[in-house]
Amino acid sequence: MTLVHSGPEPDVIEQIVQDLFSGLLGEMEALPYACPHDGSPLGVTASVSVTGGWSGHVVFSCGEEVGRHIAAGLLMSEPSDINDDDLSDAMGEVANVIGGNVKSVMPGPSKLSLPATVIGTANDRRPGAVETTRVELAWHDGPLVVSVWSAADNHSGEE
Amino acid sequence: MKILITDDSRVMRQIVVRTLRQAGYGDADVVEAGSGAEGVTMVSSEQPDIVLSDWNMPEMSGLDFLKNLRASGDNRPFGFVTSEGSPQMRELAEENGAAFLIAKPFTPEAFKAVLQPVIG
Repeated sequence: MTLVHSGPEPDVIEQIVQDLFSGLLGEMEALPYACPHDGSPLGVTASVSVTGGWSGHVVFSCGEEVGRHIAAGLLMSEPSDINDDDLSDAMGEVANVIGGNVKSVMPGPSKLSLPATVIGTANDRRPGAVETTRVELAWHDGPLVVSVWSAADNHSGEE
Repeated sequence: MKILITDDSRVMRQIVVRTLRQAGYGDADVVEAGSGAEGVTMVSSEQPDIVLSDWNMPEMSGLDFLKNLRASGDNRPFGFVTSEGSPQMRELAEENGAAFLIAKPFTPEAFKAVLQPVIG
């Protein structure tokens, strides 16, 4: 069996994020822009997994303050009013929307997991999976990183 | 007009409420359920004119929620609001009796386009 690691093109991910921010956060908010991230750990990470025709993980990370701005934008409230439950829920929904769209462009049929959110610096090593796509953006002066990981069980079916 | 919104995410329920308002359904009476199972109960107790449901939820998925309603002979309009908008998911939704599927991220215009033919 040959391991075939594949993932969506970065511009597909960037477009999903732009559509998500313009559609769900409203026209008053500026859109994220491409901006290299220095690799420092980020304070909130939400992820979903896809299992089936293509298997992998879709991970969305940002700083906690930026995460509270996102949650506030989604809930139309103030960042200072966002509690950890709101932050977790909002970040999970962002990962869910990005993951659902990634699932739609990758080979199927497949299933999407429920989102999981970690508040605090997450260890994002995923044994057996390979990061195939990474998009680094910025919003509200903080980084937003979307990474797509192809799982080890994406085989070509040939010897 | 009563609309039942079913989604395990409170954030997404709130976004759907806001989008309904922006789409011109601000006068509708909106009730909310946090799971498919709760949705089944609330359809019975609230008798909504239409159900909008997420697909991917714990305990009972939106698809199982829809199947449950149809199996009990309940044919009220039901639409999905979900992050998964592939042709396969749309086909599955339609096969099981959904009136439409709105993919996230969405716009008020997308809501209006699918709701108008169903509820006016």
